Amino acid sequence: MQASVRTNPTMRIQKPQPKGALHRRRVREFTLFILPWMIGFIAFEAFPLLQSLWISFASLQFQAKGVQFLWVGLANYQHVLFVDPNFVGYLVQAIVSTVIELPMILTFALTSAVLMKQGLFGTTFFRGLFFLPVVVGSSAVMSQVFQAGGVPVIIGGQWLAPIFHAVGPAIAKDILYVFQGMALVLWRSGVQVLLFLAGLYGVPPTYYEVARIDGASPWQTFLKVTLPCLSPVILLVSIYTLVDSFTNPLLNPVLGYIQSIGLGGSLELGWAGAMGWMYFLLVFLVLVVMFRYSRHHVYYAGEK
Amino acid sequence: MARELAAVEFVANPIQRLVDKVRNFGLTWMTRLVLYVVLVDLGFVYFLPMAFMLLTSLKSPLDLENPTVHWLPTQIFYLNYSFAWQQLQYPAALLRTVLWVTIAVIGQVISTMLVGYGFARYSRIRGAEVLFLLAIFTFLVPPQTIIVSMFLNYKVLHWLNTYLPLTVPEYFAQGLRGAFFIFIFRQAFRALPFQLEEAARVDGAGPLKVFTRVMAPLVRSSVAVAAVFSVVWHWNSVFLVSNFLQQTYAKWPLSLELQQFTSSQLTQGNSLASNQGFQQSSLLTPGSVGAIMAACVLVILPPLIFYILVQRSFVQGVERTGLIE
Repeated sequence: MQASVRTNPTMRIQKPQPKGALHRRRVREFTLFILPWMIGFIAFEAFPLLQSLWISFASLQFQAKGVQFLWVGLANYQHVLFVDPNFVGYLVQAIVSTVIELPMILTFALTSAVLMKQGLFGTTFFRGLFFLPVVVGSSAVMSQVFQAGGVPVIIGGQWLAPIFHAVGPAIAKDILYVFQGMALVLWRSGVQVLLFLAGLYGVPPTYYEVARIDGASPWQTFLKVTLPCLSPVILLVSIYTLVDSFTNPLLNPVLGYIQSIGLGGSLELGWAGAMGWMYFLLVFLVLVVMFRYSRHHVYYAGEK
Repeated sequence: MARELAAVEFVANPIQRLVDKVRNFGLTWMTRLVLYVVLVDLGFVYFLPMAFMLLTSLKSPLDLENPTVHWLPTQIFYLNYSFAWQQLQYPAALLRTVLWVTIAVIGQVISTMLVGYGFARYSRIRGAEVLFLLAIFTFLVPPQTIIVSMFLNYKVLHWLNTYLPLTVPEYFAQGLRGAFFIFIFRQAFRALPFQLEEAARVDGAGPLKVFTRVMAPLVRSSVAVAAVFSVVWHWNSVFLVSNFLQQTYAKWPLSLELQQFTSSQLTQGNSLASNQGFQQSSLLTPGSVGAIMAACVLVILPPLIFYILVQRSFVQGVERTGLIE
């Protein structure tokens, strides 16, 4: 039992804290550092969050003296879960597409970042090129390019046209779908590629030197040096990708649905609020599980 | 020690060394070629729409309607740019946007760096993890879902139709994806070893001094990454900006001007062009794609230039001077 306490890292973290002057000083320092966030949270975030939580338990009523919210308890939540015909379907759709996309985006971003770090001729140029999806993808510019007819350009339709003719329209549609999906994944990987790239340059070169002297193959070096050193960035990128795909109002069916209910003609704010809160708590639960899981698998040099 | 041993092996086996060298050369040459092909392929996906945008922005309406003109315009049509320049009120809007983005990004990077450091180095304090997860929760809730309450909040403060709601939260580690930047810095600081900090503390430096003098310079590449993202996201932000700056046309940043311009091009087209005294532009058909693409180029050019300037510092490795590992 004693031995397991000493070797298990989680047990070490849960060791009772010392309650001395040193501990009080550390708590004071911690408070000092996160004070800006605490003030900002209370001033700008807490009220909107709490109000939307309250609205999810209420119903908007148009009365003689104006617009009023009436407390209806869990009625909105019951409505969403048991009456609403669309919510659960959209939710499943969102989860499935995220589960498929997450590994694709991670693998693609990591591969491109590793390739770009190889010191090939023109790395600066490629680095600039891979930044395009970040600056263009998040702006209204992209939709303009789409509207102007840049879409066949993006999915490479012009080059694939002869193939489509050869295989017939039914199969061509599937191929086109796959290509569209891949192009979307590529366009959504810009942030991830840059995060990985910066992370790769953060790995101390001495580690690679040691691995080389010890005769490690490139693949071994990648597995035993690069991946562990990159694990904090991998966690960061995974969480970002997950949040991005769950909360992008343009791509995610659930958010689009919530917006159409809440801001559409009927202004069902309570119904939309209940949906929103259930959805965010669910995604939050997934993130908490990921953080818990990452404790055993992420290597932080500062916590040896 | 290891180095000496390796040297001995090399000397002892010169033929093997030669074979290895030849094989490695062939391998690296082949891998390089493959890498290039892959990179160029991927780059194409990003490059083509941009090339499309750039070339279309130089096409005259005649070229746009001509089915034989695919990629290259028959003549360079500058009028798209002068029209877009005038309609976007480019110099004034650019100045406004640059000022706002600079002030907001400086605040966001500094404040999230402090907070990220706090969450990274004091993570064992009871409650620290819970607070961090709370911060992540705010990253999770998109502003679209709480915009009504945010609007009311800023109305009470009399901040509507000013840049305050788009700048002040940034100084308190909030704002556009503030929690994500906290997370970036938390991960970066946690990956740094303790020794340097401890040495500085033993030498008598306070926590803030350790942070500014020792730790902050070590996460330079993360600062560059965060600054780039923050600049781009502020630059492109439409949703919050359009909600908080609704009626004040004279204060709009470029992102809103672009939106206004494209929608007016699509709805009014010719009449707008003639109203503005653009007699030459009678060539501009309603919803001229060329002018819209020119406006797009003008809007995304500044963040691209910013990225090209900072990308060097982004890939600087971490130097752990004076540290024996």
